[in-house]
Amino acid sequence: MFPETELEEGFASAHRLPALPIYAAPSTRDEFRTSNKMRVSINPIACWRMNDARFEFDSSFVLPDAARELAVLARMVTLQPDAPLSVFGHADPVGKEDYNIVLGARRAKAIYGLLLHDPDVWESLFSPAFGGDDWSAKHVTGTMLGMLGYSAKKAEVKRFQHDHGLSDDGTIGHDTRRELFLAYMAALFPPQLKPQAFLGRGADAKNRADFQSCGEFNAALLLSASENRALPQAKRNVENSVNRRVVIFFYQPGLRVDPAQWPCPAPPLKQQDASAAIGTCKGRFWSDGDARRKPASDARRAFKETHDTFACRFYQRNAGWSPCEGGQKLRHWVIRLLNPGGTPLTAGAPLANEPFVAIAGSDGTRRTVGCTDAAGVLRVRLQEPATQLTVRIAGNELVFDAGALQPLPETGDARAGAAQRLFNLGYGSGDPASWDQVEFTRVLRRFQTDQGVDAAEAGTLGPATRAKLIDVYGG
Amino acid sequence: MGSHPVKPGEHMVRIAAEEHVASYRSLWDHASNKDLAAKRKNPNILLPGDVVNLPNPAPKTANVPTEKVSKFVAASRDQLDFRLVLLDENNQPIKNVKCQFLEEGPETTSDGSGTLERLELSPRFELGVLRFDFRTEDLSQRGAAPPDVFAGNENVRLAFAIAVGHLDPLDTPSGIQARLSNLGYYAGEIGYAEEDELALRCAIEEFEKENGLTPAGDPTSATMQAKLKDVHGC
Repeated sequence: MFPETELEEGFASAHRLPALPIYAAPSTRDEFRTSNKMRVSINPIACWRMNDARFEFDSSFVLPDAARELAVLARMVTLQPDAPLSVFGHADPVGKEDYNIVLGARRAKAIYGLLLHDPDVWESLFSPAFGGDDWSAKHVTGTMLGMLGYSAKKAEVKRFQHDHGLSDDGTIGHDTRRELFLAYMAALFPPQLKPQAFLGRGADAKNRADFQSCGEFNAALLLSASENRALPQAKRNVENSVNRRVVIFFYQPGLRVDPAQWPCPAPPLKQQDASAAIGTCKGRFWSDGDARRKPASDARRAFKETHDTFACRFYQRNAGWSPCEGGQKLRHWVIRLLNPGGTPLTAGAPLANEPFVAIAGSDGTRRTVGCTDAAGVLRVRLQEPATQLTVRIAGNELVFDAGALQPLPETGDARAGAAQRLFNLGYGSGDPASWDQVEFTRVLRRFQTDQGVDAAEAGTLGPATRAKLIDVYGG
Repeated sequence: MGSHPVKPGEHMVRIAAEEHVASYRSLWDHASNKDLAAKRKNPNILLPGDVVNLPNPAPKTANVPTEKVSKFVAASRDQLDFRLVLLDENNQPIKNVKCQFLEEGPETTSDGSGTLERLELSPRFELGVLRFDFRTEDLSQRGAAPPDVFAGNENVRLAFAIAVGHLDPLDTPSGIQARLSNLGYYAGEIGYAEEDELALRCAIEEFEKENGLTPAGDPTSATMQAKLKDVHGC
């Protein structure tokens, strides 16, 4: 759905973990009657991350430049209008747990309100202020006016009021601020979402599953204990900025999570709600969660390298394989199947939406079950390239030898590589390595005829034939 | 006496059919397979690499007239079914939903407990795709796209690839991974329990937490395995 996209201050990508398949036992009609169970999973299908730099310093106010990352979010939402989303706010591990979880919640709420174009949500962040997160002190109205083509001068405020049908007294009161929030939200994120677009569908009064705060518990980077001691505060603050992020996950279309069963607490927006929320978070920690969030004595740990800095196991379940969090990469073998056994290519039909099982290695337990996509592409997730891969599909058993494919060099002898590709595409028979020149030429001519390659190259491996072979075979 | 090394996707009924044995029970209950039966406990769940011994078939005498054609049919007496309970993301049964296994072929409907049955499968049935309409979504209620593009109701159709005979025994790492995966916990790539230790541990702890056990993440825990069998159904 969405390629891995590095944003100026963030990241966006589809996830590479498709719907989990079902590994099932059959049943006999005796005492060994057997039943299996499957459950629709809540694994995210895509992610979007926005960095600290798009928020006002130590605040939940979203800065004008966020429009760049939000434009990508808008595109993702339009591409996948039925995928519910959920917002996760994060803070850094400096300072107190309860302050950090509230700041994370306020940042998540700011994004939630922005996507809804709901000025009341932002008004609740504007007042009351929370610690350093004081929108009034940060002059956010001036920032918004500036972005919208006005300024904080009295005459310009009057012009804004006039343009928005307000009484133009030049003072920014509740009504003016409301119009300002609305205009600013629409400028930052034009497609307005409804509460039903979120994972909790707005069903819970406290927005459980719609947005939440992880506080400082899921650090992207943990500085070492010695760095924490030695670095001056300003430097430490800069190093920690990667932790202060907001991540949105898109989930399987159709999911309707029951907010009461959702593991994350209702986002705490006041100091007095923090400790209950922290308790709920800690209930979902890894069995060794406290060890995971503890800085190492001398070495810093980054999640994208060590994958062990998140204290919350439920967050790791969602984010541990997410490109937006530098999660573990899932590697794929990609194979395109063209109508095996049938006439090659000209028959044209790729083996689309067909179930398969791929078996790697020798002991037979390493298996991937899946479906080919509409183009007949089969993706097998493997930890390491197996020397041999057996694929059962549509009554066929195909054996792939990894690493046996010869290159197709631009100059020099490309015949061996070309013969293998032609054979894999269904041309010729027998071992392609043993084809003599006559057989190779015959096979190549058939391919050239099928693909309409310029007759001038007939029977020879010229540049047009080579390009066509790469195009059809896939690199 | 011959033997049959178990290949991926094989279970006793399939092996009996491959070896032209009328009933799998004559293999499973045979003294030469006593150890296998004791180890695996369920003839529907074997591990690739297991070995099934093939006792020499007992000779059978039949009197047939000469100068007339007599027909002998080597028929399997085994009947093979498939049963799957469907749960939604909130652990509620997906009731009375029409399901398809393959593009062609009859529809099967899940019952009031979310159980789906396909009776009388071919002994060699291995791969299918389970498709059903999961939910109906009114996309205009989401505001995610202009109403003229997505107006009104849309069915959310889910598809799951199913591999019958590919569930490994409960006490093997790949068997634990597969059961957790079926229950919606990504537990790493099946058969890569060591390489994907982190995913497996995450899945086990999440399963333990959601099923009233103390999260420990230990794949060898007998308590966890017993709970997994109980929840998964086998």
